[in-house]
Amino acid sequence: MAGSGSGNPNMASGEATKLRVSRLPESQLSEQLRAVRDNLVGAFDGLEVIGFRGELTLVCPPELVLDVLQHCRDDAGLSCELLVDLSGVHWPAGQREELAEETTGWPRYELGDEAGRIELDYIVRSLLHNHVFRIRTSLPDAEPQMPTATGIYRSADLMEREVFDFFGVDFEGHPDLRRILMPEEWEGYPHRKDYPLGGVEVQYKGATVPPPDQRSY
Amino acid sequence: MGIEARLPDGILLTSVEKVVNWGRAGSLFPATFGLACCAIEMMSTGAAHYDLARFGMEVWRGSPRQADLMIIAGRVSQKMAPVIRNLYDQMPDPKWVISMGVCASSGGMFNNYAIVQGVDHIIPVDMYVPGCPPRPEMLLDGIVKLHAKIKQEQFRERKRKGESDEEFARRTGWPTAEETEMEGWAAHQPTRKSGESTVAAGTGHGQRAGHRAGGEDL
Repeated sequence: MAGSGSGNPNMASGEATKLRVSRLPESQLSEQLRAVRDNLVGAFDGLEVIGFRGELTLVCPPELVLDVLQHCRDDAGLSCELLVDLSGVHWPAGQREELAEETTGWPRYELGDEAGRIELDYIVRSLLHNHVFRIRTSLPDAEPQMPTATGIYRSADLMEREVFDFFGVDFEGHPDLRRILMPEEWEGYPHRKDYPLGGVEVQYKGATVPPPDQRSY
Repeated sequence: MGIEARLPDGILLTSVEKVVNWGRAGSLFPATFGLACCAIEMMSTGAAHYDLARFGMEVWRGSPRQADLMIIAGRVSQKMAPVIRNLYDQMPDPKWVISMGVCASSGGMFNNYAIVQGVDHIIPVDMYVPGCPPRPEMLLDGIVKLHAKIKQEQFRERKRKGESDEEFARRTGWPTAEETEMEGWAAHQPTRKSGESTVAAGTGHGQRAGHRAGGEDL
């Protein structure tokens, strides 16, 4: 669903990422996924490979995504019949802390981008070969646009509506791009990091509790 | 409340009121709005162990046109709110609303942009049943208290002891109090304990400060 695709804060493709990508061991990939990786890296150049914890992620520029998805579906060795999920993550502009030593035990690592990015994860699965992996791409968050994947996978229809609803990514060529979970005339894209959580102040037994995004704790 | 409210008042009507209220309370048909997790507890209230059939309520009407009780069971999202209002408007009078669970009563644990903070922003509520989810016994308590509230309804609205004209107009929607003011006989009527929307189970500390319920009785 919409939200953090892999759950790993390390994985963002943006300007300052070469160091982090190379830290993530590809040796954790299984034989099968290594074959998938070789297939794709051989077919396209410009792909970065991440093999964190046995999950294969291929990071590619937005122009290549549809070609990669087409190849994943049509190639006999990959044969990915299913687009399992299409989700988004918003990485806002500005300095942020990626690894806090107190919580993760990893040394503190700060990351900053001048421009915000919206990352899309396409998770594709093959039933024939029983493998599943991720195609990741990154769009600028000012006017994010992406060609639609509904021509390749029909299930992308509702998933792209959801990404549009919560992140504002405009999918060109989508048959019916409108909001899916929020009311249709809603303004704003709720899952972006700069969208306020909202809510009301609560009064209880003489005390007041401010709305969640205004609390100091 | 319809033509019976405009009939001339008299002692005979009191027993008619009693019979009519007994009939209404004895066979409330829920048009249930099982929106989220509270729907599970509502279903189990209607199931064998905590039977709703003994209250005459086992038949859930799929159409709001045939229902007189709306149990909002679950959180109300922004997208669902106009639908709820639409269905409430489609229910014929007399109708009552139970707001089941904390999400329907006040937004519950979801204090955010997507959930309406209490269904009484949208429709008037007669009974709030807190809980997350309320146990079937709590929902039954709310239903029984609603029955008690229905049984003390009157056809004709009378000013309560000490009530001012504006309060009377706000409570009932009747234009003036002089129409309903009755010398002598009305003064001897016992003050009935019909109230604003009440909290059924739980602590009884009840309503959120500064946020009274919609309050129309029908």
